[in-house]
Amino acid sequence: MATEGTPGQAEPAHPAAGGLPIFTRLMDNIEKVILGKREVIETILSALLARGYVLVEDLPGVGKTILARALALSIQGQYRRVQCTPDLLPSDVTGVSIWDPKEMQFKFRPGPIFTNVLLVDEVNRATPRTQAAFLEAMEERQVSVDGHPYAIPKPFFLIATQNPIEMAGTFPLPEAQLDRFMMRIAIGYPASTDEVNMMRAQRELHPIRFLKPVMDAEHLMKTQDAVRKIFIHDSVLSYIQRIVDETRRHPHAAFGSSPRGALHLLHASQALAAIRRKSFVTPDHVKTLAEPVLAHRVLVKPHSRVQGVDGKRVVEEVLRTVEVPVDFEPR
Amino acid sequence: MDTYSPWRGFLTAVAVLAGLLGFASGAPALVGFAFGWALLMALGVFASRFGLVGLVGQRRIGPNAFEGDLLTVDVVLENYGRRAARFVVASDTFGAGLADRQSVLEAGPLPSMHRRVLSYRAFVARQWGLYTVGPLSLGAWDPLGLVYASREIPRLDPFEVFPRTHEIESLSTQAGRATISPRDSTAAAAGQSLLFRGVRDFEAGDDVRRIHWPATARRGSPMVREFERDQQPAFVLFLDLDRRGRAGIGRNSTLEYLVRIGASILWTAYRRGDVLSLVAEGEREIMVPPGQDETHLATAMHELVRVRQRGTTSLLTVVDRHREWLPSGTTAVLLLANPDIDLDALSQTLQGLRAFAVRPLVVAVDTLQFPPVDRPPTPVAVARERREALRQCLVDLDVAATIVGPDETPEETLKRTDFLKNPPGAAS
Amino acid sequence: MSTLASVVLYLLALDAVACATLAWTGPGPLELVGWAVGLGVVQMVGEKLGSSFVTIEAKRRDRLGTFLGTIQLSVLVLALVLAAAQFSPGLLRFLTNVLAGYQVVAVLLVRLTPLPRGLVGQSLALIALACLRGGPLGAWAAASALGLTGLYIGLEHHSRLLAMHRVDEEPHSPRALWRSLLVVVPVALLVGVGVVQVDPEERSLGEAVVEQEEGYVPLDQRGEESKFDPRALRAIVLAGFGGAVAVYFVGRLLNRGRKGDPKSIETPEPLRGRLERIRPEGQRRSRALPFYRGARGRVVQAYMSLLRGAERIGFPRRPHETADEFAAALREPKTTLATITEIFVRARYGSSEITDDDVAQAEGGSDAVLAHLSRQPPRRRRVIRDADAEPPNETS
Repeated sequence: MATEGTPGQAEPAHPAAGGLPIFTRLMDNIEKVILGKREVIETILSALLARGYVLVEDLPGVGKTILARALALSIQGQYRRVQCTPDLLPSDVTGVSIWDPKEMQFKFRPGPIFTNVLLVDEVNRATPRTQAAFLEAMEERQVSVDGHPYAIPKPFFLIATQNPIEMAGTFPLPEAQLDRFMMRIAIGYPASTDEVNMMRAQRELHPIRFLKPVMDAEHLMKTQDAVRKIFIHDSVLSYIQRIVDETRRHPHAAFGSSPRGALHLLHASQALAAIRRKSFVTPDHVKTLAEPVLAHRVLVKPHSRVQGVDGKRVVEEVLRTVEVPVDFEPR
Repeated sequence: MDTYSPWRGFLTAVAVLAGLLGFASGAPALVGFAFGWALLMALGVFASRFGLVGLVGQRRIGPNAFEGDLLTVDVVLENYGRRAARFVVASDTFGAGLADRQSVLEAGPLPSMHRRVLSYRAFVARQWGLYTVGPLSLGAWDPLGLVYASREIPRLDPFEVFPRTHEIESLSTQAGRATISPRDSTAAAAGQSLLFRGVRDFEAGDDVRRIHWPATARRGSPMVREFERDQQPAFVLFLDLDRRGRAGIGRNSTLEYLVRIGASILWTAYRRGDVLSLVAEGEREIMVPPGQDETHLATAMHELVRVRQRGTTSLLTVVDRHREWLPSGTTAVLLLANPDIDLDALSQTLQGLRAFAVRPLVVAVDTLQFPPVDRPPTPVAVARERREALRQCLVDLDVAATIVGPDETPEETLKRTDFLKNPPGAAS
Repeated sequence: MSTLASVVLYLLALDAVACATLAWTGPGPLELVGWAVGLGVVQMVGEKLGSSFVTIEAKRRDRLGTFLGTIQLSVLVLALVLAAAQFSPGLLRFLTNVLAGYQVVAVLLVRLTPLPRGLVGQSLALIALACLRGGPLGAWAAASALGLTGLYIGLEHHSRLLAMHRVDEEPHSPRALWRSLLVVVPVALLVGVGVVQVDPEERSLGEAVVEQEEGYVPLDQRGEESKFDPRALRAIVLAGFGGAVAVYFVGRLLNRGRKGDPKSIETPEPLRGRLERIRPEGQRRSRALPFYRGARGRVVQAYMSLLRGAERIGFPRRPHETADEFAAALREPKTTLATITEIFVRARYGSSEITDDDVAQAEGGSDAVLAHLSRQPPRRRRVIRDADAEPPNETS
């Protein structure tokens, strides 16, 4: 049951031998550019393999954009980038129908969203209308222009970045839209040795210039399909359910995570299991991903916000209360 | 409940006496009775400890409340033990209430691996300030009620009590600005920018991101968007924390008047939907940036109840320093703690505010009428003269103002119909 | 529950009278029935009258009760000391009659104070008289006194506890009775059996005279046990009264200094939330290691025994810890721990087949880790289940 669920049909893999060297190669490739952030890369790759979207929220200059670009370059697919500004219009994203005088009809000219990897930079600077245009694309994987639906090519991966400071003149993403992101992650400053290494590596040229793709789009899609088949024990499923349920009951939470949050956590955990060369999901995988997947879905009560409580702390506390299934349940 | 057993002392004395009698008269039954009692006591000690095994308590309480509020404090009792818990007493100390300890009883059964939320109602009976809630202690009696074992959960929750607020009639909301001037940054954020108000001509200094391109294209000259949000009234409270304004003790002190009146002013601004901010300079600088919602009010109140009059900067200096950051159309309330100030400087500051299209309002607490703290008392005649001079200055400037003295409580002052309505009338 | 407590109190009063009279005056069955009926009637009347005491201000009532109780107790104490010091059947018979008569008054006044100490004290004094007789009757007196008093104070405690917290008594009475019985009955039985073993024979009424002639100096009625000097009675009453006054005022003086522990205020409205499970249904921890079938089960069992062993040594797995986190917290021995954790995780959460080799490795590994731990125990760790506990992976 486990072996048949092993991802990556290109390479045969045995659970004990564990083996999807493709992920190792992918991670090594990205790590050439982002040094010393293996966990972050692992997390973001989980989202990629679980067909989720990622919101990277961190200070300027920690490598949000570079990470997204490196990821895009590692997959041999089309990569586009949208820099959001307040005057960015929805049609700038989705594309417009323009009149073709030769053919005497409207012709659709696709926008940047028709790509495999899309980087939406500083998403909170776009107006809510434009943000809503992304919303449809993210959920439906299609775009409607002039009443015509246009399908977005597969695979489609969206990385949005936003900047937690300089909030003036920005439009924070509404809760409904935040919920559609599988994860919200922060990159954080590099460790001191990594920072020195980074400076050394980038003394002359940025290593991203030499980045070569390690997998193509089709391979990625197959892998994504395979990841969904990773085995997950019922007790781990109920562990996920309890975590999500506890976020709803937490005293500081006005609203906890949505059922979509539970689903995202499940898929992301499956992907992380695959990345860590396991043929099944363990509670460790769930625990690792609970914070990036759930923290942005927890809406903290206003009173608690004054005390400095945020979604991250709620999830941390929940993880410290929910019991990990170790013993067998009696039947 | 008293943790002292009413029977223990009495019956122990009886048992000791019985034992002595038994020894004296050679009656083994009496000695047996004494021995049995000792055994019961020992069992009681054991049983009471045993009743607490595996129990965990946790308190859930909001971080703040207003004076006189009745609030519910939840005590979550969780049983991790192997047996059901019964007759467990959870007692908690609610610092902001008059009752020292509040106790709730879980009569049970609370089965293993279950939790129950017990709640008690607490009345915020104390004055504004910082209090603690806790520690929570769990206790259990033995079945005979002889021994009480308790375990304390050493967690204290901070709890802030805000002064009771009154809405001030005269603080009008008409002070919003007509348009946004180029040096102001737009406040449009949080999705509210969709309340589009219109466009106006581009002026030098306007943010390029605010240019409305469709209108520009139609009109041929650059146009700038305006949002409802930017016309929203802004409100700022300047609080005087200069140490020279200290006077009086306890409820009859200038600090009390400052905090109570300040809280009501902030509350009114919040109720009217103003974008409010608080600026003060005591031993540290207090700057609550402009904001609007309940959380923001709580933040401002949080700062307000912690202020101490230990500053060395005059309020006028603070106002001058912040003047140019105030958006035009702001209502600025100056809460002065000391009427003994340089009146020329005051009129300059107020006129300066007006020059920036800020509407100034002044509340002055007449410190000289309060019992002095760290200075010699001012003669009555001098105090009256100073007060009259201040009043005259405010009348001359035509600034809506109120001078508050100790003859009125802050509540009475706030309920006055002419509070902050007109320039102050003649001294009573 | 208060009805139950009244019944127990009645039984105590009746038992005391019966024991004492059986020991010293030898009543007939008719007389005993008379006592039972009489005391029952008097107690009912007393409890009905109790409402009139309520009109007295609580503080005054308490003072009155304390004062009367102190007088009564002093008299009883002196009488008992006298009885023990001067073992004369005549005196004891006299005391039994007086105290049994006074029992009626005590039962009548039972509702005077919230704690009927007067009646309990009076009954215990009668029982003490019965105990002086020794033998099975004494043993019964001691055991029944312990049992009934214990039961009464247990019921009364629960009733008071529930009333103070405004919780309805009715649903909790059986549990309160059961809890009290569980503690009291074994002790009472133990005492009864023990006393019978030690002192199987009753003292004969003639023996007492011999003892008295041998050693003790009587007050002034040596050899005249049938006749009782009223001066002794006067001395008892006067000394008792004086003692009562002294005890009362000394007690008040002492109590004045004792401010005591901070008293709690019971919540005006008890709000009880609904009962929630911490753990999902059916997942209950039992003391015994569960039995699992198959290779997978044997691996889990090996790991569970490792957890039990570590817990015994003082290093329990916290409920929120995963196997890997626990291994990281335990640290040593590294390789064995890593192996057994890996096999356990595969067996518990995975779906692949577990080989015999894995089972052997897991079982051997578990023993090896436990052996290592018993040689070099890790730093003890407290089990903290509070949500505000330190972060995981931290030993404390």
